[in-house]
Amino acid sequence: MPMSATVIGALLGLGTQMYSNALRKLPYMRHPWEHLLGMGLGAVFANQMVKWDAKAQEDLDKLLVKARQANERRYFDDDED
Amino acid sequence: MLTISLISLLIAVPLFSYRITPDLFNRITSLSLAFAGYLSGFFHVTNLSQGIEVFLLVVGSIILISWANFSINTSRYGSETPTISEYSLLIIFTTIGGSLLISSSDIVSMFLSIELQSFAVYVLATLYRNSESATAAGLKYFLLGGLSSSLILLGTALIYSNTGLTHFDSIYNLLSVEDIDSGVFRGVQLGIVLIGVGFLFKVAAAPFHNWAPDVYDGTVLGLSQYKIKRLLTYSTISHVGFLLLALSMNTQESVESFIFYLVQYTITNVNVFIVLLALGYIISNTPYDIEFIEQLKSQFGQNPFLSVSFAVCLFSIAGIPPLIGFFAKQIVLYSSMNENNASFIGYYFLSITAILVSVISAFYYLKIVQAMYFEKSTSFSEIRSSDGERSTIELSESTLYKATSVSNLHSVAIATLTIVIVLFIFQPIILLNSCHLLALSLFYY
Amino acid sequence: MNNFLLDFLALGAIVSGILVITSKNPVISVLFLISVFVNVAGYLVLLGVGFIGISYIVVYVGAVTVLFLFVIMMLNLQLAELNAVGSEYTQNLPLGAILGSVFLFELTSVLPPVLGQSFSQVMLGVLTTIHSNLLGKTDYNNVNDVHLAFQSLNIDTAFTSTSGLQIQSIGAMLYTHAAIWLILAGVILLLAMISPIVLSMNRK
Repeated sequence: MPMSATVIGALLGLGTQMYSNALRKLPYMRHPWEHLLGMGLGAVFANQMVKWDAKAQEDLDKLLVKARQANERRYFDDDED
Repeated sequence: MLTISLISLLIAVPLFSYRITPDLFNRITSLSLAFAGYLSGFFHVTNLSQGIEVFLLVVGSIILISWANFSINTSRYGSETPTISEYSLLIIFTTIGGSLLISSSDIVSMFLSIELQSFAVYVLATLYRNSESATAAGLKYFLLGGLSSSLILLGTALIYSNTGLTHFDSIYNLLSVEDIDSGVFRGVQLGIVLIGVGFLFKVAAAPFHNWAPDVYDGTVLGLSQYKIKRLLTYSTISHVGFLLLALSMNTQESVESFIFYLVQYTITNVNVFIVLLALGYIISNTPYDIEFIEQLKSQFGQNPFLSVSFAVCLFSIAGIPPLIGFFAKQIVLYSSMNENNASFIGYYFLSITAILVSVISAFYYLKIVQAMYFEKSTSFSEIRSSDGERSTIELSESTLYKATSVSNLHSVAIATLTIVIVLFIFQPIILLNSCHLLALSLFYY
Repeated sequence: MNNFLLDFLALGAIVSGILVITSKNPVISVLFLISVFVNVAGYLVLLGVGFIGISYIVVYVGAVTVLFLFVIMMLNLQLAELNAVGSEYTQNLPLGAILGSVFLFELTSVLPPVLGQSFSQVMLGVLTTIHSNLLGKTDYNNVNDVHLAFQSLNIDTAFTSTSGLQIQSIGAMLYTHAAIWLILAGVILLLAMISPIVLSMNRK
């Protein structure tokens, strides 16, 4: 799983850099070290994204449970509070 | 963090302005904004305000980093420098105001941070003081912003005079007392109405929007739809309508859709403007930006990738399906047609109106796209510039680099934003989950 | 007598405020602006908020408007041009009057009936009531008790119950409870200092 995230991120970074070169009407592979940098950053970014996604999912589950409890308390246990 | 960088910039600007170019100032500021975003600001109250603040800082950073350096060619255009080193200073001021405004929970701090934020923007609008349109726009913005600020101030004064409270929570608590004096309640209501009117003025929502096109464009009234920045302003007004539709419901879903809409619209709009800047640099080879849609004619042949990015942004703004803008519109409409709101027939009406309006406005975006792709450029300057471009291609590549003069970071920013807009559909869950999280944290924190 | 004086000063402030924007000659309108500030300062002093009233005189009359006056005199504007602009605006006067009266009607119908029973009384008393409520001089209604229960450290109580001078209580609030606002206001003032420099600096 981390492997695929890295690969996808690197591809994204490479694509972004090539696109950015194309925007300036340079040849696609001009400034190759920038492509390397972009690939590295993209890989890091994608991994962070995966991590963030997992964390968000976890937090979301927690909050959803909390919300459900709050709703149940509001609707069913009204007289106990 | 931001205050520290503000103070250090303040000291640095007069001291080193001969050794450091304005672009470098912009870059430094951009980095410090990004870093402040990474450190998540200085005033965190809730998850929601924190999240939006991070987003605000990152967007500010993108805007600054994409500011192209044009100092190469300035010698040809006299002493007029396109970038001014105080620019980044003002950006920091307005960002501080904005982030304080997000996290303010008291009437007084709300007002103070609004003032801080908008004063800096007035100055930003007037910054190119040699152009007549910029000064006119700045003056108009200042007067109308002053009007809306005084409306907000009157509203806060009414609330304070009727309750004696300034804290939002205390006002809420007081108003939820059952046997509240009806006179007090009406006074507070009036105050809130006035504050709302002032805010609507500030965000240029529909009944109070007349000033916005002038400020963005900086020209006199009368020219209708063929000035491109005016057109984008009108699109902003309609998008603010969407945002307000989402905001008016105050359910979990609508808050979520509001946040999502805000995020995507900000990304797309930033991209539109920086692509426009890049096109302006390339076409006219001056620091001046594009004014008329006519200037964009047949740009597809000359700058295919920039035109593609521009078209992608426009499609996203118009809400064409595979792009991010479509999902934002869809989620707003979905939350407004929710069964919880089914009893309010007004929301159906609003949704249908919103759909119709967005269809109509899509026409205008498509007109730009048509001009870019299918129309031949006619004006003389256009032909000359394209000839010049053709000749520069044959020259050595270093001169080509100067001729395009879109800086590296600028194009990277455009590329990244465009890719985000296009590829959102493949991994939507990250952004959607984040928005959902923020919305839920507002309700069940 | 005191009430009459208050109303008189408020009326004077409003009338000179109108004259500020209607008078053709900018010098005269600045003079009327001074009159607005003097009236408001007298009003505040009569209400018992002497410090703010006197600072109005010192800051606005003493510094700001005099500066305006000098600037306008130095600009040497042509009166004929200004007259032409002024006639354009007077064309819209009926529309403005209609909108203003509608707004005033809305305002009076929404405002609490405490302000007075008749419309004419309201006309004169709007400012009085807002200000007197704002600065805590009238008798409180029961809402005040509620909010005191919520917030014991309120600026109202600090303002009225401390034995010291007003300026002492203001300072105490400003440097303790509201210190962050003071900093924020300082940042705004910093911006206000920087922006004229940015806008008017001559880069060579």
